[in-house]
Amino acid sequence: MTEPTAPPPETAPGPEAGDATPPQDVPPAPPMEEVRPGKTSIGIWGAPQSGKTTFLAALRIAMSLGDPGWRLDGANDGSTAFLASSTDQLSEQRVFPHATNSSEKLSWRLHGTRQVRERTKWYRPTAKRDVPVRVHLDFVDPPGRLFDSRAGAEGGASSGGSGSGSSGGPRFASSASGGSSGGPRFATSAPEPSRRGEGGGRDRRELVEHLAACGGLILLLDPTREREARDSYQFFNRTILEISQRAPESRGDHYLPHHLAVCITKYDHLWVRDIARRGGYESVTDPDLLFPAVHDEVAERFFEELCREDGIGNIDAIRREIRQHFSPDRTRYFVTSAVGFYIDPRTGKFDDENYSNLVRRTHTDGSTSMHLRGKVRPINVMEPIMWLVDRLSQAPSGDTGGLRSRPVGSAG
Amino acid sequence: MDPDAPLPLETEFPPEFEAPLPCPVCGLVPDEFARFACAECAWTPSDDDVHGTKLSEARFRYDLRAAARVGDKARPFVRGGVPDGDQWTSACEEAERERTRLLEESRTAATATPGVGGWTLQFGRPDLGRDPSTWTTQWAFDELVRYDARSPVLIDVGADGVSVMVVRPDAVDGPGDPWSREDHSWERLAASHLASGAGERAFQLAGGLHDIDRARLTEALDSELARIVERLPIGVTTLLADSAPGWTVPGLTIARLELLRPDVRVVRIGRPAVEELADAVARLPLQAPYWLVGAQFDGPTAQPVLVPLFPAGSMTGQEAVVRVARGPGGADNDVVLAVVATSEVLYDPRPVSVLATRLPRGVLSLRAALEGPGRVRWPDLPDVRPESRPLDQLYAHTRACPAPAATVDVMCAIELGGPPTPAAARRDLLAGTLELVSADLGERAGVSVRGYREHSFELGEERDAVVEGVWDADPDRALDAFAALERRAQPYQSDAAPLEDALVEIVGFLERQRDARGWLNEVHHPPYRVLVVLAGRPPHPRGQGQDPLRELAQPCPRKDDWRAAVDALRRFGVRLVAVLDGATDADRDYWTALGAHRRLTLEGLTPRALADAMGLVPPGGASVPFPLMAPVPVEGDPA
Repeated sequence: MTEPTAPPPETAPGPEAGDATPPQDVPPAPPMEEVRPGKTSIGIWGAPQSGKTTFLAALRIAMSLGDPGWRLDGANDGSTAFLASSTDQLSEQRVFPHATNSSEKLSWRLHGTRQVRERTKWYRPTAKRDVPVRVHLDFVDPPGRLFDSRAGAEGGASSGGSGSGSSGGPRFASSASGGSSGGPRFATSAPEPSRRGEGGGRDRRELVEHLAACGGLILLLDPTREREARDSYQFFNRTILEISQRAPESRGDHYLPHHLAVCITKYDHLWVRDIARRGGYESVTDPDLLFPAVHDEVAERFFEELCREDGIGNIDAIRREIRQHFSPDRTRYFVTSAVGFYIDPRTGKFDDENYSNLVRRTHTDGSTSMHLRGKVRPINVMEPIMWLVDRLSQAPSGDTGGLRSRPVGSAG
Repeated sequence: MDPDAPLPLETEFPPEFEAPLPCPVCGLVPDEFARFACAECAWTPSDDDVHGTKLSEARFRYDLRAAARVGDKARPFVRGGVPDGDQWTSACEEAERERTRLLEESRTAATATPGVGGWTLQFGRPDLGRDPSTWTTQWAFDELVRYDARSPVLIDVGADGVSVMVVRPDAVDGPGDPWSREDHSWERLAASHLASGAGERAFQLAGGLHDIDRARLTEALDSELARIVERLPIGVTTLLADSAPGWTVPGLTIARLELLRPDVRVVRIGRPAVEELADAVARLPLQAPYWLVGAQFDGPTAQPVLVPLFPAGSMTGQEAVVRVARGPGGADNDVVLAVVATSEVLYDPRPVSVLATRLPRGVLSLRAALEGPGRVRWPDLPDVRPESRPLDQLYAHTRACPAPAATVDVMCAIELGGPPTPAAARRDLLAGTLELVSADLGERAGVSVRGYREHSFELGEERDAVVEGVWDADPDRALDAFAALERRAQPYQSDAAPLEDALVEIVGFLERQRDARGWLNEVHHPPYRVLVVLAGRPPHPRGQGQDPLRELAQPCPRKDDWRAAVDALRRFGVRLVAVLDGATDADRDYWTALGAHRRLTLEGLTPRALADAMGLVPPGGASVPFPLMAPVPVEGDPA
């Protein structure tokens, strides 16, 4: 995200003020199409097949399903095309969007309103008012393989399962070759040829620098992947070290200065949801559909529970690294699902015995593909973005160049 | 022997004894009363034949006649060089004319014999399809196979030697030849006098005797023939058949045999005597009725029964039609078509014709064609082989085959989708099994086949029906309906298939059936019910998470529960058999439940083994060897 241009807290006369007058310590806004990593940027990162592309595609659907006060536009042609195609694939074709093949620079504009408190006399009730917000989201959606810590060491010739041609769907033990269109055919294992010889190389360096320069980070963790591939830590480890190397010092503490939204994905998966259900972490968030969700207040504890349940993976190591590198005050956990739960159109309610929205099809040639069964109803996809917007906008100006008004509510 | 070698001029007699010289043409030694010309070849020495030209020509003509009786194999042995084409053709035509004349002479003589042909109307009739001139010969052979004849003897003197056949008229109904046969080759009868080569020996037998001592040959034949004749029964009908008319040595043998058995009747025939004898047997009317051995389930086991096929007096050419069906085990075992002869008064069935074949499924109308006593042909069956097992053993097998249950409810749930190869194998196995059921149980089995495909998880299609097939049909109809189920490949879920839908349907069917039959009836007369599941993938779970080991398996969109269905099947007393693909883990709970009685692997499984596991065929592969008789055993005799 670049330049979350909220209006000045007290002096902004109207909705257009924030748009027209950037904060004082923020450099003048460059043209909209450029990617400008900075304190107010948000970087997204995760292991291959952790669902980054699907997460981005689900974001717009989440916007349309959520608070009507928010709207997402592409800031350039590539972003608009991505937004259109990935939304179409996910919601209409009911397949997972194609994986990202390169470091696509996606820039979106997030339009909405936030309530801010107005300063009043102490004896007067707190006044709130809606202020328009136009946020620039410069998302870099890097292919997961660029975060592979083995990439540099092994020259990119390695390793099945980390191919950038994968997408955000579940993986399977079977290793049929991937399909080329119409959604992911899982278990493609060949690394992308263009990066085979350079081991991530320039793309990777650029991405790490981009992440280090971002003010907010979204880390996607797929706990189901860790049960099978057990390589999430491997992907996480090197990247966090490189970010640490490049990131500026935090003024108030020894942590990295970034705000981190940890998204524990695949909440709709049977194993993940079972843990949430057994541990009592679920609550009904949608009064109409009776969707369950894990509230972000308990998401960190749920994450700890996941680490305990996952006796063979290395998620707990990731958790320790997060605590070591990121301030707890600037870290928040979210339990997300890009595709959400299946809702039987006849009942219109969540069915605890029939909620998986994914169908795996095996084709007559032996290949497999994942399809969505019903409508896409993302869970906690919008919330990390909104949380980051809020946190970045209220951070001290030295850190974020940000906004001093305190948001009292957001979509997150 | 060199045909051009000079005749031996010297004899073994002492010089003081002036023995007559043999004829330089035919080698015959004239007796003391002989005329100037040779008695056999009419050769007359000529003083003006100083160069021997006439003698050579006489030798050539003499040998050519003998060789022409034999054929091409004797052509090289003609003295004076191999005859050219015209000479040879002319000689062959002359030999054929001579042969025909001799045969005609024989027929004329037989017709003139008093009493010949008198038995024809009583015991048989000539083959009207043959030349009427052969009828007298047929009558002569008919006398040999008279039912009241006592060991008649047929002596056939032919090109190969002397064959002696003692006919057993009481054995004409048997599967074998009703005669015993003893062959004496010329090689054995006159080995020291005849050439060893087959072609030259045939030339000699036919008349090329110019270098053979006739007296010694006759002496040797007399000795051997006496040994043969002395072993023959005395005072029985004896027929002497000359099947090589015109040949010198067989003719000599006939003459010597006539001296040894003056009571013989001599006939000349144009083919081997055994063929005439077989035809004579075939012309006989049946003395006892012929029956087909069938099987019926009577009591706890099957029983062999006799079904009338041809009544007594039936003649060659008559046909009968029987309606049969193969019995239990008949789909993959031979069915024995055993025809026996026995009178209805004195029950003593004797095997006439015991043949093995494979019968197609269903009730068949089989034609049986009578080709004479002991010869029954099945023209509708292309592959018929002799059956070597004795009838007593087959009777015992039949009686050891337990009767199947009176009514059987056979239910089949088969996965039609999934990987194509095992899907095809499942279909083939079930089709073969239904065929077995059709053969073994027939209409006693009510067969329900439920084939299930794939749940569609497209919005709006979740509750579409995925099961198709037939309910409670006779096996043949069920098999046809099953074969009509479309073979199509479609995407599938690798970890679940809508087996639960098929199970729930079957439970509903059983409930309806129970209601129709009545509760009390079911309690007192519980039907035998068996369900076979042929599958590779487990059922969809009832709800998400019902099977923790299949995280991605979608629950059944219709919320059918295989556990509840299996419980209901158990309550109905259904025998549960599961046939699983080789790659399927058979120890999972759904398979242990659905294969409670037997769990089998698809690969290598035969329909009989599956039917055995289902309790539909006799255990241990017992089968009924004889065909089951259809309700209408005999449609009639079109002849």
